[in-house]
Amino acid sequence: MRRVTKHYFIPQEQNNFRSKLLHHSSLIVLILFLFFTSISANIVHRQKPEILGVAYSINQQELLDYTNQARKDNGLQPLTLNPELISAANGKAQHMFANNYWAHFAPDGTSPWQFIRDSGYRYVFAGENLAKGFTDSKSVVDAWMNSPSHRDNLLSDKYKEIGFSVSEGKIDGVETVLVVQMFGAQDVPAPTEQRFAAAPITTTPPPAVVTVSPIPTLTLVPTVAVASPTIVVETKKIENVAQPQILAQIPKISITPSFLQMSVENNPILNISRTTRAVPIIVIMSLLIALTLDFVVIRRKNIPRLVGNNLDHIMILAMFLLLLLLQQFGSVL
Amino acid sequence: MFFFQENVSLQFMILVFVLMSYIVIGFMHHQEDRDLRNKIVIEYILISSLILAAFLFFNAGRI
Repeated sequence: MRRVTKHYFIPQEQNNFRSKLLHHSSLIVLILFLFFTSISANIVHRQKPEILGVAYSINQQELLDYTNQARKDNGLQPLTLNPELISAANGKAQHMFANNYWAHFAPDGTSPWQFIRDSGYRYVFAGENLAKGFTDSKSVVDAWMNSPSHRDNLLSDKYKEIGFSVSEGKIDGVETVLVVQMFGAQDVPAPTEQRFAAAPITTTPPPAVVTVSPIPTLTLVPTVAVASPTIVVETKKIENVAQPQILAQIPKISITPSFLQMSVENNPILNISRTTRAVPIIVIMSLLIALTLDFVVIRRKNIPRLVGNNLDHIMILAMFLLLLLLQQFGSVL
Repeated sequence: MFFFQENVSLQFMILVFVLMSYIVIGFMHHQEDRDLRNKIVIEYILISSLILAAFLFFNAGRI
């Protein structure tokens, strides 16, 4: 074993003073292996995703738990699941898949608030976070927490309720898991039977002028009229101030209240993302080790050879390795 | 390429461009040293092809 390792990594007389791993024959074998394995993996992944596929497990309860844990860690009240917000999140997710877009505002101008309104949720404040391409619930919430604008949404004390949608589909031709997180606070408390958990609703009206946060937060200017012991809140909604006419023309989107997309899970026999990530990294690192040892030993022994410049190869391979290590598959919006 | 993580096709095109530049710069470098031989040309092409194959492998299932 030691001899074989030496033969492949250390230049010596037996390998003609060039690490065997750097011989043309070895490089060709590695190229063919990587190339044909990636083609085979693609074919198997498309035809038999239950054998070779992306393993993922994201569910609403975990998303809620991690979100509330983050809020608790920051001294905030937990959010409660609201069926209308779940319905709105589902509607948004289906609209994104149907219209093939990855944005808060649809190409036709449909705003996130449209889905919330159509679900029947009467909001005072509302917000939206999006995520796609993640494989577990914790990485989704961690990614939101690592992005300042999403973190602001997640840790806002204006919101009282939350809804998630976790669904699978294709965006830009790529199979992905999409997570929509919708936040809200209602102007009147929703009936208790519509909730998953009893939540204390404050009827305190929001301040007269509310600041606009980066993207997904909604601003409202309420006027308050006290008619009886109950506080009546009238709200004048200001959404997408720049394009009020367009908003007025947006057709109603029918959202079927459903809680079907509570979670997605896929457990293939072989996890393609783990395998395909590890193998190229190991190959490139092995080549870097071989090139570095080859460079040091030959320099020390001062053996003249007619080969390419090891430093050139080390530089390009190191840059590529860095790219592979930094590559992330999930993104938030 | 790091900034286009969402777009594998664009990453692939950028990588091909970078690798072609790497081969050309390698040729020029060895031409200056007057030791440019077929063996060296093949070595640069093989290293570039290996990087490309590793990229395709890395993104298997996303392409």
